[in-house]
Amino acid sequence: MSTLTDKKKNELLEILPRLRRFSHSLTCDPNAGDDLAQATVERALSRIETWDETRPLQFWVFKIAKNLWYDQLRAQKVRGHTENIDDLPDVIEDKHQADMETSQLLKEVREKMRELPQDQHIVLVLVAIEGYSYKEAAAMLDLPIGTVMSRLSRARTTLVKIFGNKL
Amino acid sequence: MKITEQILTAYVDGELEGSDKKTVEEQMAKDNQIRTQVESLKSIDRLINAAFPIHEDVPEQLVEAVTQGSINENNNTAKNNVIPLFGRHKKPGLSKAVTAIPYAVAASITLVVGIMFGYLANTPNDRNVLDSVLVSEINTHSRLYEVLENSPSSTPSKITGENNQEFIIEPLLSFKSVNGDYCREFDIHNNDKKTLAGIACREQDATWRLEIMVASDAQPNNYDIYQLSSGQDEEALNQVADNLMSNDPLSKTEEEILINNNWK
Repeated sequence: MSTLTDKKKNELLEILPRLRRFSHSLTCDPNAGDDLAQATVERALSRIETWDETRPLQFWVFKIAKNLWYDQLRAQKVRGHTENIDDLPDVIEDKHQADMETSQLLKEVREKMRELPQDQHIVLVLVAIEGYSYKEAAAMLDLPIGTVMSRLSRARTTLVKIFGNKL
Repeated sequence: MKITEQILTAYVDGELEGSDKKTVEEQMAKDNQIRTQVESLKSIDRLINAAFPIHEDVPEQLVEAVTQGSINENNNTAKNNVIPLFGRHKKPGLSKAVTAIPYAVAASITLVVGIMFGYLANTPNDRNVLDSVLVSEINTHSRLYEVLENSPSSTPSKITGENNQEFIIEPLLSFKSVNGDYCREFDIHNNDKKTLAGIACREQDATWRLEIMVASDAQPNNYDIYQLSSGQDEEALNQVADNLMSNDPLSKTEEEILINNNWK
């Protein structure tokens, strides 16, 4: 009972780079990010018939990724599994960042992003990286716009405090 | 309009319009500090965007997942282990959660007791027999009920079954469901080996109803039929939680208040 048409496949293929970036920015870890992207694609395919084609595919797929990521965090939290930040790979393919200092800075940014409270982290990713409007982010997270604004503001303020002297 | 961090953030994100936007721009023009703040916010955005670039070359495996497009049909080895129990006692509001899990294994405290104490050992092919003893409402006189009702999360409780076998029941977290009920995820394990994990929700009449129960890392002789392949048990459980949870898990304090107030 597959309703996965070529058109839908192509649309999914088109958003893969963005899905992968979104997954990386949620997990702040390249391996975990790729796993999340893979799991998201699998989940999306298994539910493709539930996608309302009048809505953007990327929004729907990102929402799946977000939910999966929350599940993983929740499972890690309750099962006591936490990854030591020191064990994470150094960089996420900073191919274009030959400059070691920049590379080190970006690594720090990823680490500090990862340390942000989960609710602030996701809002920052959706708005500042993925470019969603407050309204869209609020819809994806089922939050009031005011909450999106305040979380976003807190996240950015935290990062400005950390990296202010390096900007 | 007072220029707060939040207002500046909204300005940077292009979320301010009309007079609000104009006010910020006027303030920026005459106030260095505000201008610096805006620049810092923009710089942070550039930095985090640089930290997570888009790579057009995605792993082959990911592309194949889409082009083949049949992962779940080929990969879901646990499908044959489905025991569709929920249908008999399904609460209308929960149908979405339940039907979304093709391979979810459902059980009840009766089954749990049966598994733990060996009542149902080695009857994998006789689903009718199993089905006849399954109820999804947790017995109000059972130890599990008592634990769900009174124990805070991450507090293990020991129970002793027949043959003096000891089991640990441990609530893991509590959350409010999309239906407004309070639900708890819990584990039942033995000798440090997790055997069963489930989610139960409290109904208005003070009963706890199982929404899902999965077996994991279990001793196969006791319940082959419920054995899910690696990882899928947790996946099924997470999926139910995903569909049921209305928001983040309750905090320790929120949970404590609810326990003291009989989950009202």
